[in-house]
Amino acid sequence: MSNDPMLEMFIFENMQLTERLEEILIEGEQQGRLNEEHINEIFRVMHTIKGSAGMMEYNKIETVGHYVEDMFFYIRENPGVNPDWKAIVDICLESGDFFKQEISKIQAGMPSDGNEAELMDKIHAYMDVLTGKTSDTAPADEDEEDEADEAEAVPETPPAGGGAQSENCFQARVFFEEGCKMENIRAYQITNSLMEYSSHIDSVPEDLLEDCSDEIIASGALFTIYSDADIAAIRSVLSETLFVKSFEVWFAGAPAPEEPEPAPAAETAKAAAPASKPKKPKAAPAAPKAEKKAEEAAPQAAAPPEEKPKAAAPQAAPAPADAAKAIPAMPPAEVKQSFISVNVEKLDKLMDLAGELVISVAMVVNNPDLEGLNLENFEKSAGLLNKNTSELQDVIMSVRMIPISSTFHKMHRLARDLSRKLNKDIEFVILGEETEVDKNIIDNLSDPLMHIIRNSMDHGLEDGDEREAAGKPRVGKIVLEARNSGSDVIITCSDDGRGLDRDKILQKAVRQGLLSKPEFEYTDKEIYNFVMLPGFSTNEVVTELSGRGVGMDVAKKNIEKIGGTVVVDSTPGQGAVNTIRIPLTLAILAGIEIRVGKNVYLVPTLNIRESFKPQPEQIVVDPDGNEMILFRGECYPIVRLHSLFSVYTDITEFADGIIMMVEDEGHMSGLFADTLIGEQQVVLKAIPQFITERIGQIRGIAGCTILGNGNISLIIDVKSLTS
Amino acid sequence: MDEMELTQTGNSELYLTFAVGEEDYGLEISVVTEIINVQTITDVPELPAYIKGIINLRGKIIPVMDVRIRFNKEQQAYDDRTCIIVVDAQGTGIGLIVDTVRGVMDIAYDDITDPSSHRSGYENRYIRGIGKTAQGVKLLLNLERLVADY
Repeated sequence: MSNDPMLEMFIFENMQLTERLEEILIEGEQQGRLNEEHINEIFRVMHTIKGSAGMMEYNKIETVGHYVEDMFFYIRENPGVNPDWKAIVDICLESGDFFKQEISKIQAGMPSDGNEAELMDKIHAYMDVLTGKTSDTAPADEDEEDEADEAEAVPETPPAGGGAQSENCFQARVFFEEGCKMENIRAYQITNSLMEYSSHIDSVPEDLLEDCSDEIIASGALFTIYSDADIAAIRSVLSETLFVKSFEVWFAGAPAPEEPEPAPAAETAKAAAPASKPKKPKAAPAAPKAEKKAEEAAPQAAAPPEEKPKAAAPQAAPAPADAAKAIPAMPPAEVKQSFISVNVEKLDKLMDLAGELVISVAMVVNNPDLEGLNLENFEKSAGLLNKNTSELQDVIMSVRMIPISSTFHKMHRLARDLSRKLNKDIEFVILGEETEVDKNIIDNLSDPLMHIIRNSMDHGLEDGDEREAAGKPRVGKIVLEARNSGSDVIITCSDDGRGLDRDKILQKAVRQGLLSKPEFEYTDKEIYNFVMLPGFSTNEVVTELSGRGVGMDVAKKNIEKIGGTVVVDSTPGQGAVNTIRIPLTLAILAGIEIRVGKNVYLVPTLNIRESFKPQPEQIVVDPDGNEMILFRGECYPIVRLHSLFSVYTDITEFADGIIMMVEDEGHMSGLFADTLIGEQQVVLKAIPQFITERIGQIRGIAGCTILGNGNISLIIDVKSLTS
Repeated sequence: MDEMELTQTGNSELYLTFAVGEEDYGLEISVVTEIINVQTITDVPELPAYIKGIINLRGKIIPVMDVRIRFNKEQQAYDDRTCIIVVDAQGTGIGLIVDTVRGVMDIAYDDITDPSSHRSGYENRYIRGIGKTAQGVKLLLNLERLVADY
């Protein structure tokens, strides 16, 4: 990854925008059409992507963004057309994929060299369908937005017909958000986006590529724009620019008419020729709409009254159009400001510091120097301090929690693509997408979910005819649901397909020698969960999507990596349910402290079954000297922690210490320790790399943690002590 | 240490000097992060004897090495004078337990000689030079070798 901050910002912003784009599209598709709000938002997204890609000189992204924007421009300006929304969504999703692919290339330090030609052909082809044109002049019509603007303006400003238009002069002063950095580059970006509407832009400070950020912070960036566009267009560009805190635009007089010069030179020649063509068809539907909108927009437009008349006066009669355009320009300001993006490392550090703070408070409040003193006021203040610090810790913890919705929407997208590919109609239902999970966990959840959904789509759901024959609705249904349950989050993915084939799975398991007990002792659930084993696939044919028997295995491994479990259950003929149980956060671990000699160890509460003082008759020693504990009628091995960790302790007789029964995946053993201390919520930390590099993974130790008193305790790895 | 005039010219380098047993040693100040008192050290199983365990350095967990044992000297109980010098060895924080810290001094490159001509011995392989100063001889440590895995 490059450490160029501008590039990083570009990648981050555009990845987010692309994801947002997908969300809008899928939402729109579900509703059967993209409504005005959707279109406006797509417009904004495309515009920003296009603008920033242009600034960074990623021309392919810019071009694709531009053409998609054009397509939507046409749709927006022609509310009468009833396009094939499905086709549009397809094209846009494909464009989104193209952006993502190019952005990942850029992220990996490779040149953005994707082949946009195919995509462009599709967009052009669809534009032809949309505009009802078949001649090859069609794409050129939609080339330039400003050209279209011009076309729109023509019928409303009769004197300025054809190509001879007078330019107006606007001035805009822009202030950026505090601390957004690189103000000069951002200002430069604005000149770039404004170039679309303008032939010439002057700025103060003059050379924005010089480091003049301080000046811009102090007095804002002043642009003088010579443009034939109206003031609203400029306003909309400014309001779409990221990190703009405030801006004002005013009309600064119309200079002597100049030869108009639509900005992007490359397209000009092409665009100029057919410019007159779209005027008529467009003018008719555009005019009534604009008027209607103007009424709606009137109260809003009234707010900045000084600017309005000035802008309107020299521009003949563009007021209605002006107001109409102002509508899309308004909402973004409200949406954008409620989030800031923060580097996760900073959050981690903040969380560490909060943990430190809690420890320091404990050290002060429980300071041995204070022992035996009667400090009534001190106790009161200390109580308050404790309360505030733990609240602070909770808040910081919650900052790391993000809703699971983005992952779910990704899955929706996947299911949609698969349904096309497999030709199975599905209804995809998302429930509980607002459920919040730690960022680290979310990052590891996409892959497993993807495999599960693929399986459901490919194996689970039948095709339409088969479903009908089974008396089910033709359209299959997949429900993805998230909900909280104690300190866990449960994610279920259920389908109403044919379910798992118990007998087939059992046969296969027998053939692969996976059975460890007699066949009849297996419950249905145990049998279904064979599908999670590596290389297990009941599919006879390997398809593009599944059948190699890796999917579920990978899903299971990934979920286990984040401390979760996954089980599958099924009702024949009615579908299957995959249940994933993951902890809310990786960072916090509940454990019970035990003492061995002078050391304190922590055993995860999750693994503890029981702890007790052993009675002599419970201890069994076999002829080889292996010590075992009789627990509820069964014998389990005893692990003497003091000898395992070579710690000196006076307590070596079982009767003097305690036995803690621990279990992992059905395997149990008894840990022998000196004594129990108490319960602790701790933050799991890794053993320093310096140590693991030398001696590898330490048997019986999963990691370490810092206790409330500042000491470190090691966390016991139950898995390695039970298997 | 405060009243010492710390100057650094182009032909000398600043060293943190400390004692382990009879000898004084030196470490380039650039690798030293901080000096702390001995605090509770947590045992970690399976470690080589010279790595005493891990400590909590303001929320960061770092390993600590007893330099005495590393130099095959007899272990000594830690007292008030015992210090942990936290160093940055190629990005990894490590604590070095030393008998006591002496101070910071400027040693000219010209005053540093090759160790092999002067002495042989077990700790010799951790020494990269010998600095001759007004306060006696300082053995300059090769941190990379000291923390390396052999």
